[in-house]
Amino acid sequence: MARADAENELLRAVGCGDPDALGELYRAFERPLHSLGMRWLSDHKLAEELVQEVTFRIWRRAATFDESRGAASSWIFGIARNVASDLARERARRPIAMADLPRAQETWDEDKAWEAWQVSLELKRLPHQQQEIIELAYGRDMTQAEVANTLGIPLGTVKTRLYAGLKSLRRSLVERGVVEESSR
Amino acid sequence: MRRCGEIRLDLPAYLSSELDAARAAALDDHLAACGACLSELSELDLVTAVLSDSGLEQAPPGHLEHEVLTLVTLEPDPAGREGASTRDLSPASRLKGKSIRVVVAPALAAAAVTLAAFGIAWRSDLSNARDRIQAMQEQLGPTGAPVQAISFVEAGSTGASARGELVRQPDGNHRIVVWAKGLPHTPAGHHYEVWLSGEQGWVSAGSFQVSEGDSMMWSCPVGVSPAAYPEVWITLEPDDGDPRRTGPSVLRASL
Repeated sequence: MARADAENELLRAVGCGDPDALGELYRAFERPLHSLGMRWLSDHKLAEELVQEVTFRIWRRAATFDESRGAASSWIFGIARNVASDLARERARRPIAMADLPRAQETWDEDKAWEAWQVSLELKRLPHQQQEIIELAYGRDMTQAEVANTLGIPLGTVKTRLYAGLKSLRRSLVERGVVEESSR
Repeated sequence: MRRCGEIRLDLPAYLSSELDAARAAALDDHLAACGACLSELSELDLVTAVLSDSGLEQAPPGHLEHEVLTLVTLEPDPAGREGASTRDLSPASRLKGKSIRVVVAPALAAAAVTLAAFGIAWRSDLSNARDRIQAMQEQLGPTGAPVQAISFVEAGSTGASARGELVRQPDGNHRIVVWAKGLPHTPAGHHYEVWLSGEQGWVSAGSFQVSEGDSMMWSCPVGVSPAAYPEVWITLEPDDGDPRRTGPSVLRASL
């Protein structure tokens, strides 16, 4: 079954009140949701709150999902965008201690947010060994030597896994239209 | 001379300027003569740029999954809700709402003595998920896995409706969670009481008051085996100190 079809089916099952399907959907989307929460809100607690609230809204509204109007992933992204907007507004109304001021936030860019969402989704589908190396290298800005040291594996292994992971990621991002197909 | 396959493993490090000067120069020479590797470099450049721009972050903490999914299972079945798209019934919004009170009953006493219950309004100032979950766990006790949905039917003429869940706690004991809507405010000198009944008689699971709004959520640990007490009743009891069931029934359900 295609990935999008599997997600649609999970969402339909959630709409029928299947908590196991919700758990599966949660595990598929927790990372991209949290990543987007961090990107939009720059606050770990709010990012976690976004994950929580989106999960609740999925549970409550899954029965209204209509796949003829878009894939499950798009539907969930739309919910996440609304929740992030709510949380940002709520935060703006709260007094904040100077020490707790969030770092500068990304300005809202729908295309970039969507692109980041796709990247998070595809990254999660890579084999774990490739995924963790990419996260350390591009999420934590570690050098390959630092990655090798952190994971306790040879530098050559890092190179091999990183290259393979980037190649796989590129293929899937081409499929999703995030990066362009090579002209060669 | 290094082969293309070997060279390409160096491309990510080349793009992030991690190669030493000699290795970078050798790669430059190779790229000048190898269109395939140059094209490969271009493709990797695109994907690493997207990665760097996507603001990769770590996954949320592992405990969040258990907390969120446990809280969700305390919600009514979405398939049975009315107007779900317009009414916000999530625990998160319950916690913020002023019209809903959560009542926590004391543990079931073997002697069926009705202990005084206490009402706790959710704190509306708990703004983040972690705090709300913690508050919920403190007030409702340890959560667990739902094992059975409970459908109440009206046993009086109040127009109230309720649904519930039998939850198995991590310690192996059970807990009953009830959501009721439309219960009249508790008359002076009375309280609502939740009972389990079976062949061995009636035991009280605790009591609660409805003093504002018309919705409530109630939860209590069950100190007896639910298998031996297959009926759940909610009655309106007078505050007369009599531990027996004497008041009219409001709602009932079968386990």
